[in-house]
Amino acid sequence: MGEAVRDIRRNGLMSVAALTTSAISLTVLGGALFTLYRLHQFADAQPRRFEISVFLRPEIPRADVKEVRRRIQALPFVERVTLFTKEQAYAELQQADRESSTAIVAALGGANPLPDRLDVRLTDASATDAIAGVLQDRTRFPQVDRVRTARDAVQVFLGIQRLVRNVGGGLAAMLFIGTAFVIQNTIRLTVLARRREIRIMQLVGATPGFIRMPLVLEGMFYGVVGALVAGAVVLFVVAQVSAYGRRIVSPLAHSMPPAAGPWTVLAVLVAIGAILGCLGSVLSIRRFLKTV
Amino acid sequence: MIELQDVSVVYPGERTALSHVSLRINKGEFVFVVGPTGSGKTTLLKLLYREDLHVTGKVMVSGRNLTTLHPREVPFLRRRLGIVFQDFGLLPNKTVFENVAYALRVIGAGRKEIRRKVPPALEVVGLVHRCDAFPGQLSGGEQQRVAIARALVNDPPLLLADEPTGNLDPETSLGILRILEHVNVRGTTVLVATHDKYIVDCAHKRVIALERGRVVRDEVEGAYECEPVIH
Repeated sequence: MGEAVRDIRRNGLMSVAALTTSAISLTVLGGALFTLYRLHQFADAQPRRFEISVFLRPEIPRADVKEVRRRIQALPFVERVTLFTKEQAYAELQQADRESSTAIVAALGGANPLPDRLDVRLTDASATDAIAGVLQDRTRFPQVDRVRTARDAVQVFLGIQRLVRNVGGGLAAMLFIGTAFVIQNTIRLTVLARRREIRIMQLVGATPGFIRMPLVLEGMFYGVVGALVAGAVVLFVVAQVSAYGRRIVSPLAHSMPPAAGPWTVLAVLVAIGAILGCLGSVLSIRRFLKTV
Repeated sequence: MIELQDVSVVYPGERTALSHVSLRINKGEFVFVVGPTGSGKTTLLKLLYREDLHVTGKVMVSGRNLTTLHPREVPFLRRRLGIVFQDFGLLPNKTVFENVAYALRVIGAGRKEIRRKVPPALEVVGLVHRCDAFPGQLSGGEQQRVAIARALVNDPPLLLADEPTGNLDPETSLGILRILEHVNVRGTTVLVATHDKYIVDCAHKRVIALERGRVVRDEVEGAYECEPVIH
């Protein structure tokens, strides 16, 4: 341990270079991973926003409506069912009358012909068709008058979701491999700078484990510190961008699920950095220990 | 101590470095291995500290056959050897004391043991007063003496030196020779590969001459060349 600390201090310039490289490459990786993750979250959330609207026959009493609601809630893939009563619909109509100076309510002459409506939100949007089919089944739900789904829109968003998942996953994997290579190469340079020392250690009878230990710790140090710097940069940029985004495209921002906390981002980056640093030095040293 | 039986070494590319060498060196001997560049001197030493070579035959050191030694045991073999090179092999950013202590540190010696063992080793080579100097502040001869101290600090029964005076002037070389002789008198077997005619002729020790990988001469009180030098 002391050996590793001393080596890092003595190899000043090399350490700075290694740290900078790992910090930069981890920043790129971290930024990309975060962006891809958010994009995935966003794409994932969109189709679910399309609810199935179930219009009940107007003459159904409220008690029966509540019973239907309970039965729908028990179906698979159903996240929640909200009741939108005919009174609420009527009030909304009155509101619309006032806003656009129409007189629909007056024309109705005090009657409320509007039906109760149940809004069904699913946990998995791809089940929309199947659930809608069940709800339209007269034998199971005789109280249901009409079912409306945003079928086409759901399909489009499901497609986008798939695309984001596949392309994003591929990109993330490629970036990860690239970062691993960059970091491994950097660490190999620091090991190369110690060639003479490694040679002497071997000749005076140091075991491979003893030679490896400080170098592995050093590699991990570069990975972890690089990751901390990268994490700080990513979090700062994310904070700036989302503050800006909230001002510009607020409706979109509202529909975003909450982002992963800063500690999660840091922890993930540090873990990646530690693993890459450790692997990088183990691989670099292995080649060396074999040549003698 | 050392016994080679019909040993041949072939480097990749089919170059033969040693062919059918058999020899025996007893405990406490002082032996020069001489010969022109490429005659196999260095290869002979490498055999003894178990560099990764393509070897046939039998290399016995202290009763162990090195050709069948497991790689994991190599570090432990080397702890019982002192090795000295032409280029000294010192770490430039460590002091003289630290360089010598390094050989103890990397085999896991404690601070106490280091403080106990390093000064006597530096005393043998007469450099106790320079223990805080860095290698860059020392002359070539002094640097080689530090390397010898490092080789001795583990009290190895066998000291191997590959061209220890290759970079030094005759007078300094003689100083190194005297130190090696002193080490030998204390009981360490010493094997020196060299083409330094001067120190070989001064020493009157056993000389093994190699030429193109073969032993061509083995004399008990030999000189660098075949004909004994007349003083």
